[in-house]
Amino acid sequence: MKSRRTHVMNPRRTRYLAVPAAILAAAAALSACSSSAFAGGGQATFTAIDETTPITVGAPMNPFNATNNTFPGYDIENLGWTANDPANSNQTLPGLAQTWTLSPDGTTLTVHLQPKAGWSNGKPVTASDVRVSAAIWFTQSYVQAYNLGSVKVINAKTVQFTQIPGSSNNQFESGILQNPVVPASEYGKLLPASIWSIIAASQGTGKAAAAATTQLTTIGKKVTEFAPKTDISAGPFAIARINSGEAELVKNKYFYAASNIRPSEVLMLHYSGNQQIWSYMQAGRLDAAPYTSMPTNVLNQVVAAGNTKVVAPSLVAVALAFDQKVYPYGIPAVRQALAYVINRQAVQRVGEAVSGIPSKTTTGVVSSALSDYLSPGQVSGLNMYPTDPAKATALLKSAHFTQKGGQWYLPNGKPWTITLSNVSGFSDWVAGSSVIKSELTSFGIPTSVKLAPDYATYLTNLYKGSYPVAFWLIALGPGAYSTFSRIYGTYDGYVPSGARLNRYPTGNAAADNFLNTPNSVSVPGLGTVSPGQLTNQLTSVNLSGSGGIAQQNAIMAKLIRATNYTVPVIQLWDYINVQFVNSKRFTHWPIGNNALLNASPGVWMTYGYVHPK
Amino acid sequence: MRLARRLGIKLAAGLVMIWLVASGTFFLVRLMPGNPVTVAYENDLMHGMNPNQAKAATALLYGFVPRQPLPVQYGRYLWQLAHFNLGRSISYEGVPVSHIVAAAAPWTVIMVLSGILVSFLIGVSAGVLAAIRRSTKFGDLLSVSGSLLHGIPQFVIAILLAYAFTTIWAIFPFGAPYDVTIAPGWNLPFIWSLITHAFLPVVAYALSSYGGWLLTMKSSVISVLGDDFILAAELRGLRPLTVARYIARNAMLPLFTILALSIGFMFGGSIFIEEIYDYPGLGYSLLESIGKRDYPLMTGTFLIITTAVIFANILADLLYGVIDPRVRRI
Repeated sequence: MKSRRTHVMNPRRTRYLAVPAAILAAAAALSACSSSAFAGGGQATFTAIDETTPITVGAPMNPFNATNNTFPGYDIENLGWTANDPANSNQTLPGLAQTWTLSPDGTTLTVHLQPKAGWSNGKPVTASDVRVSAAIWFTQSYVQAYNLGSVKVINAKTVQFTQIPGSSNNQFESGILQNPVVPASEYGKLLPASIWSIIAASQGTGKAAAAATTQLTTIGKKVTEFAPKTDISAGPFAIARINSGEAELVKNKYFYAASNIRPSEVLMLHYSGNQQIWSYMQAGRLDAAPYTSMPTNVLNQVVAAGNTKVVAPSLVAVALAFDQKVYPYGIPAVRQALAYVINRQAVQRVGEAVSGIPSKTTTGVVSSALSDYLSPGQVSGLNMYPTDPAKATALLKSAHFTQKGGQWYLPNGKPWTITLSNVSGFSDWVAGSSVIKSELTSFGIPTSVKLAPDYATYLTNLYKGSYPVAFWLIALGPGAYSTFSRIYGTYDGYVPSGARLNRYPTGNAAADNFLNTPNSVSVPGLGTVSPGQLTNQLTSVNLSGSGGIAQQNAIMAKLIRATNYTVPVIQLWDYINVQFVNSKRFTHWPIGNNALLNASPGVWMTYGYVHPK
Repeated sequence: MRLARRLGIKLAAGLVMIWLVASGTFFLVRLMPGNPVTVAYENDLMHGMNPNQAKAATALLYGFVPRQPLPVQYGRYLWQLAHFNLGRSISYEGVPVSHIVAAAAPWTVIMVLSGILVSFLIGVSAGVLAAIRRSTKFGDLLSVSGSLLHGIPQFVIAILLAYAFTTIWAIFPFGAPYDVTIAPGWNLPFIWSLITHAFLPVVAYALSSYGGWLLTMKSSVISVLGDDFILAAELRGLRPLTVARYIARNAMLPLFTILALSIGFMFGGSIFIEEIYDYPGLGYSLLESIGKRDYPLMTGTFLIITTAVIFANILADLLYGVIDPRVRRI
């Protein structure tokens, strides 16, 4: 009986298994075909992910919508692309603008377009397209902050941008060049004939200006809602097909550098988080992957799957920020002591092992950019805050803190405990905070970690003043002002208004102030400085004029020294731009070209990189 | 006439329920801390934009955040709803919520219905087998498989399948509803592409609910098998097929109620499944909108899911009367 059953069951079992096996085999064959990197005739399909604009269901192919399905560098072409120069955010790589000149006073920018630039429908890109685009920039509030006043067409390929009379914004050049250009034939119809009169009126004062600004906002909303039926691109590619998870971009043969573009098409994939990018890379699907945070074990799997890690500097760091209004964090010795307790190497190793490096010291500037602002002598003169519990102890005792039975007590006799605030889901921050918690607790300050359920809640509580010690991104470049505005800008209550610099307290709607640093600080060897005022001065240095960079760097040197001494934040690790390329199908990557690596692979292709094997 | 009256009552109750849910979600989502503009700006920084780019990308968002007092917003919301208008998204800067929902809904409906159908058919068939052959090893094996799978949370099954078949053995595609290089239409490559892209999410749904169907069906069949009318039917010499029909029809009744309830469960589960498989349906949109504090999209997506569940329940309630005549007599 037993043997008969066995004899009968085996063929059935084989049949049962055959069905799913056949499905799996067919699926494998089909998915292999559909994701093949090469279409027929030796055509090469480049597969990538755009981190800044992930494909989103229902989103329009309109770059002016905050949630859009367009891809900068591929089907969206800017006049230029940021070179990510830490000290000079005006450094720009040519895009649709072949060349440009800035007047010595920095107020007039004359742009010469690429002579061969064409839209994917065969029409040439002209100065009129740029003027219509500039009008749209106004409706989207892209250029008001850079004091753009008027735009004049000089000839079919030349446009002139001028600042509002009397103003001098040192970010004007980048503020104009790093914007997208869209076809006037599609977007021009969204603008009223009187658009430039409205723009001019909005630059005045009084009720007329307010009414014009409202009109611009109304037009701006109409622009963002616009959903073009087809993608007309001035970039190297144009969207041929798109669904809610993938986009197929085909080559724009009228692109000004079409001969540089080697892949015949681009397959853009959707993603919702790091895990998807890891999966794509582990499966070998991506030819280039954007910046992706990952733990070491995942890195090993990704590299084992044939991907190569490409590293470039990144202008961002993470820090522990203090609300100095909350006792005892307003005492400089307390913040300095904590900087001596925290082992930044250990925190980075656990928190951001792959995409971070421990900050050399705490200055408000990423370590790699320090040499842009300081001489070697100045760098060596900074306090490096090595892990030194003895120094921390001495500093705390000097501030009348006491230690009994391993526990530190505040000068008022109460035990000192710390709650580190963090965000659920930010795995690197959470892992880093666990190390800090352990270090501070071992030192005698019982520390706990409090997680906000999401980033929105975290920011709300932070700006309400609910977090005395919290994780915070700092040193965001490029550009000197951007770098320090994360410490001594809006988040410290400083809001410029014309020539004046206002300061608002925590909780005021005008500023998301939670840092509450003092108005001025005394720094040994530097005297008394006002970091908020110094940071604001960075906006008015004429970077195009002679001595502009030197003037900027002198201010930056003061800010760096002041931040290093007063420690409004403890800089933990600097992020590094870790991307991945896969050389199975393509070669010629811009490795070592830090300016290009900051841009999308579409821009790499424009500059002659990325060749099919 | 009686059916029409019952339908009218059910629909009226459904509408009241929808109003309650719409009102509840309207106020609840606005109690959540966070500002859509701040979140968008900081998220852009996190995704590698520099401060100037992030500022530009979010500058106009302010204009889409409602500023009126909450009661005014609520009144306006109800007025819009009465006109089948779900409002305009904040994070999509003015794109109608109905447009976003319409783009996302088909993929969730396909997945949820396929998942329910597959799990129901397999689970019910296996349940009958497990009941009939309950004294054999095969019956035990089926029961154990049902208990095990029923105990594993849906998202765990989904993650395991995703890791196995999209990462270790990259057999199935994910992250899209179909291969974008294939022209949509009634052609074999497109249909096959749809199937392969939906395969893993549907299997995850099916596996997670298969155990429930199996165990319920098994106990239901066993209980019916012991009923006097089955014994009477056998004694009267009715054909086995007729007896089987009696068993099936009576054993199915409790399952039919569960089927209606499972639609809600499956729609709820779509949040996890779609996130894990990066599948762009309603659950995914809902999750995204929560992260971005896009109140109109949150309420719109939630309302659509709730409405689907309420109407599925009404439909099931009405069909129950068709299946079980005793309900009609009440």
